[in-house]
Amino acid sequence: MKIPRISSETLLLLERFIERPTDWRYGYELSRQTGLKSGTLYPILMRLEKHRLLEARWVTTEDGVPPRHTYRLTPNGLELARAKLAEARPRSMVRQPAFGSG
Amino acid sequence: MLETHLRQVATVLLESAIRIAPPDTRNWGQAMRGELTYVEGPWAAVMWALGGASVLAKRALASLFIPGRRGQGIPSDAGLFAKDVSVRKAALVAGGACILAALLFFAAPPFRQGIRVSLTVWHELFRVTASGGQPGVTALSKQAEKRHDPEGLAFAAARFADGRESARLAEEAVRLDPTLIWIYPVVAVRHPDLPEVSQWVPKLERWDPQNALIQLIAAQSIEIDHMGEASKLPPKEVRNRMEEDPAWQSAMAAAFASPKFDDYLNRLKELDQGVVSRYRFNDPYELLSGEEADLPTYAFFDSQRFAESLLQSGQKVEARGDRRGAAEEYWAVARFGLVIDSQGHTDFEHHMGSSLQAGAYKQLQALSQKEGSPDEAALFGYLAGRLTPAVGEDSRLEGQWVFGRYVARRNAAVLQISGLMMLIFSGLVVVAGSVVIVGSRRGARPAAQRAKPVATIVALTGAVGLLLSSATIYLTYRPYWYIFQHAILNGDRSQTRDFRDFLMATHMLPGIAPNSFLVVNFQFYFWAGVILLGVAGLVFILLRHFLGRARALALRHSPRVP
Repeated sequence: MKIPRISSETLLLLERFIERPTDWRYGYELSRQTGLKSGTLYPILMRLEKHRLLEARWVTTEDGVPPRHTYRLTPNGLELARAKLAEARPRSMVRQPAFGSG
Repeated sequence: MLETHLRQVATVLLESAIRIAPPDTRNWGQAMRGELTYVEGPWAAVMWALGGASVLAKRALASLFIPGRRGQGIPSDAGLFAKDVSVRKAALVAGGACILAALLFFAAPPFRQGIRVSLTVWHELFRVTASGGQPGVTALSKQAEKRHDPEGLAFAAARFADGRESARLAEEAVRLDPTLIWIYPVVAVRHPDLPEVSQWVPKLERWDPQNALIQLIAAQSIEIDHMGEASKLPPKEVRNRMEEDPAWQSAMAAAFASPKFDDYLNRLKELDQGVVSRYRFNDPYELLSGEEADLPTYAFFDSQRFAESLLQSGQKVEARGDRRGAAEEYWAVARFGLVIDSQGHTDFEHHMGSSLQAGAYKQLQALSQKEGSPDEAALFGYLAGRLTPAVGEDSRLEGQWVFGRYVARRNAAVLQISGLMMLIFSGLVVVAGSVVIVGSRRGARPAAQRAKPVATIVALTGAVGLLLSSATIYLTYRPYWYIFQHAILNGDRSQTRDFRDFLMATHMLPGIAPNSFLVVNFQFYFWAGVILLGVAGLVFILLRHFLGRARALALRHSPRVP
């Protein structure tokens, strides 16, 4: 299978999702964990959701406070994310020192 | 307090963006809005809102150019993670539309001529063309020689800056068509030091014996001969010798006695109309420079000197008690001034005619008072007063302005800067467009792929700038193009003063044009501000792009935070 082009920001986000695949995550939480700004994070989330790799749901909070959107990967998204990260890891490992702390 | 205000600003910003977002994106806007409450720190909240608003604005822009994006199937694997393909596509479509619109301006003749005029000063500054070169006139004269077209040759002769070439073409034109002999004085006025002038004068005297211009050219030729012979003598001595020369005296006396003054500009205009359409010659600089060649400076000073000598002679005659004889001397000056003023066409001719009349009427006023004729004295005083301001202030000429000198200079600066901006934006489009094309190829280098988003933004900015600068050139030059058309094809010269001043201003660099510092500074501050903002925006985008990528890579390789 041909390896798709994938941005480092998307990989970063998938890595965070895959750590705790069943957990629902908030946008701001993901932003803090990945260091991605809202202008970068949300287009990625939108694309993943559009292709049904990500599911989203609204969470109502206290009165007068807007509801929050939460996200997690769908089974398809999880499968694809694992494949992409597996492909990407050997490439990133090349940059690691040969005798690192490993 | 500040925190509350900043959070309010962030909320308003994001909610405004949600309003303009396409329907399928609004819930994402609400999602960002929902998180805003939890963002720590007021400035971080503003930045969060700015990022979210930019995403929604991009989507809104994309929906304008690519409607119906919804309902797409799952794309191929290769396109799945491609960053914001639709937005980039929208940017490219928008950029392409701008470039196409800018190119369509080339179909409009005013735009084509406007571009040439707008780039004149930059050509001269960077010496793109050889200084003093007249490629248009040279090409026309060669064609005219091939065709043995006397009118084409006369047209070129009236415009060549090279006197020798001008004289050669004039003689060839007259040889082919003797009725074009009037081109000799036109050339002689532009190139008074040509040796051919002294040979032309006798022929012109026979052809148009009553025209004062021929006598003025004859006098000027004599003066130049004196200057050449006595170049080591002080100028005053040369002048005295020349004034004592009977030939000069005779020529000037004949000029002052002439009932007619014809500078042949009407004939030149008629000639222009035929030649311009025949040769499709549309260089405004050349056309307007040739049509109103002023009287040579020599003729002006010769006339002033001869008039002074007549007025002094009148005063001497008056002192001897011969008031009638004195009046005749004064009237000779006034009559000559009136002939030049009323029959001349150029500013210089009107100026000279008015000046001579004013001096003569002052003498006649004094004479009438001495003769005890207060009514006559009052009339001469009125005439002298009416004509005197025109000498210094050109007040009679102001009425001929339509837009005015101020507007002409301002428009010239706008046109020049727009022309330069058009070149810069075209360069940006070419460079950034090449990067986008290279980055879009299969097997493109990672560096080219990474540069593609930035190049897309630069290309779009360049395309928008190209369209705006092209539109500015078209709108600024359009009125002048119509003036030019009316002047050349219909002979309507009522507005050529504006056009001539506009063309003169296009030879000067904006910022150093005389007497218009305020205007030029405004142009400079405005465009400098636009350029600086553009550069700052570009730097910001580049920094954001590369720093964001570096940060993302660093985070990927850093140990996980539990």
